[in-house]
Amino acid sequence: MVMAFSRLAETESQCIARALRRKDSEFIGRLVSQYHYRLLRYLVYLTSRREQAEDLVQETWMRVLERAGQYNGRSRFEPWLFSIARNLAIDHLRRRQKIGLNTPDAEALLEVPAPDRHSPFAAAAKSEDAVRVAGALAALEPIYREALLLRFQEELSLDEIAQVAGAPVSTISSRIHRGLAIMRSQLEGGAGAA
Amino acid sequence: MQPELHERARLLLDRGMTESIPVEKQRWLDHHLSECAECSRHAELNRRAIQALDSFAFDLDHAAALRVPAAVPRRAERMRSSEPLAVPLAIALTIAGSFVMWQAVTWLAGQWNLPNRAWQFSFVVFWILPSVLIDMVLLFRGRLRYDS
Repeated sequence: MVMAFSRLAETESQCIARALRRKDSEFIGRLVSQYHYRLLRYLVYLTSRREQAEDLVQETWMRVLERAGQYNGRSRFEPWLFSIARNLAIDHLRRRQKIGLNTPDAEALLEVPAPDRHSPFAAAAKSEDAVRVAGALAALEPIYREALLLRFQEELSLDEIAQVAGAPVSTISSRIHRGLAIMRSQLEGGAGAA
Repeated sequence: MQPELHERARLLLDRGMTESIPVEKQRWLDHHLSECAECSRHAELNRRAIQALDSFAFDLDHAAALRVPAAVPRRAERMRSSEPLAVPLAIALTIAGSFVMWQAVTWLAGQWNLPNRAWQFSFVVFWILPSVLIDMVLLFRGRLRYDS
C-alpha cells in the first residue's frame, strides 16, 4: 500500500516535472488552478499582507516556468514550489525595506512580525477558536507561522519543511513547538476569559 | 503524581505533533492521559490549535483566481514557441560568426604574410581553448565532489 502510494506520488511529481519542462500550457493551467489557494495561503502566512501575497502568487508561477529545468520530479512538487515562493517573498521584503542584496541574514527579514492593521488572519477566522488565535498568529514572526502551516495544513515532513526554509530539522521542530505553545496559551487565555 | 511524569507526557505530546512516537511510549502516554486531567488539557489545546488553523479560510479574489491561471499558461506558450527558435538561431549565429571571423583572419594573415599553418592553428586554438579549459574545470570540480 505504502509502496503503491509512493509510486503514485512519484509518478505525479514526474508528470509535473515533464509538463513544466515541455511548457505544456494546458497542464500548467490546471496546476496553477490546483495550487492557487494553497500558494496564496502560504504567501499570506509569510507576508501577512493579502495584496502582496496576491501579487507574489503570479510572480511565483512565472519563476516556476523560468526554473522548470531545475525540478527533476524526484521529490514532491510542493516543497519546491513553496521554496520559490519563499525566496520571492524575501526579495520583496528586501526591496520594500531597501536592504542591499548582500544582507548577511536574509532569514532575519522573516523574523519581524508585520505591523498589519488589517490582519488577514482575523478576516479568515471561521471558528471561535480561530478568532482567538488570529491575533496571536498575526503577531507571530512569519517563520513560526510558516512552520505551523507547512506542518499541519500542508502536511509536509520536517525534512521537506527544512528544505523549504533552508534551516536544520531541529530548528524547524523548535519553531513548530514554539508556535504551538503560543497558540495554546492564546486558547487557554481565551477560554479563561470566556 | 511526580512532576517529571507530567513533563515527560508533555514532551511526548509535543513530539507527537512533529514525528511518530514509539508504540511503548505512546501506550505510556495514553495511560498517563487517562489519569491526568492537566496533561489531557495540554493535548486538547494542541488539538484545538490545529483545528483552529484548519478553520482559517481566506476568501479568494475571483478576478485574480481567474487571471493567474490564464496568464501563466500564456507565458508558458510564449516560452515554448520561442524555445525551438533559440537553438537553431544560436547555431546559425555561431556558424555565421565563425565564417566572418575566418574571412577576417584570412585577410589579416595575408596582409601580414603569416604562414598558413601558424594562423590556422592559432585560429582553432582561439576557438577551442576556452571551452576546453571550462570543461576541465567542471570535470575537476565534479571529480572532487564525487571523491568527497
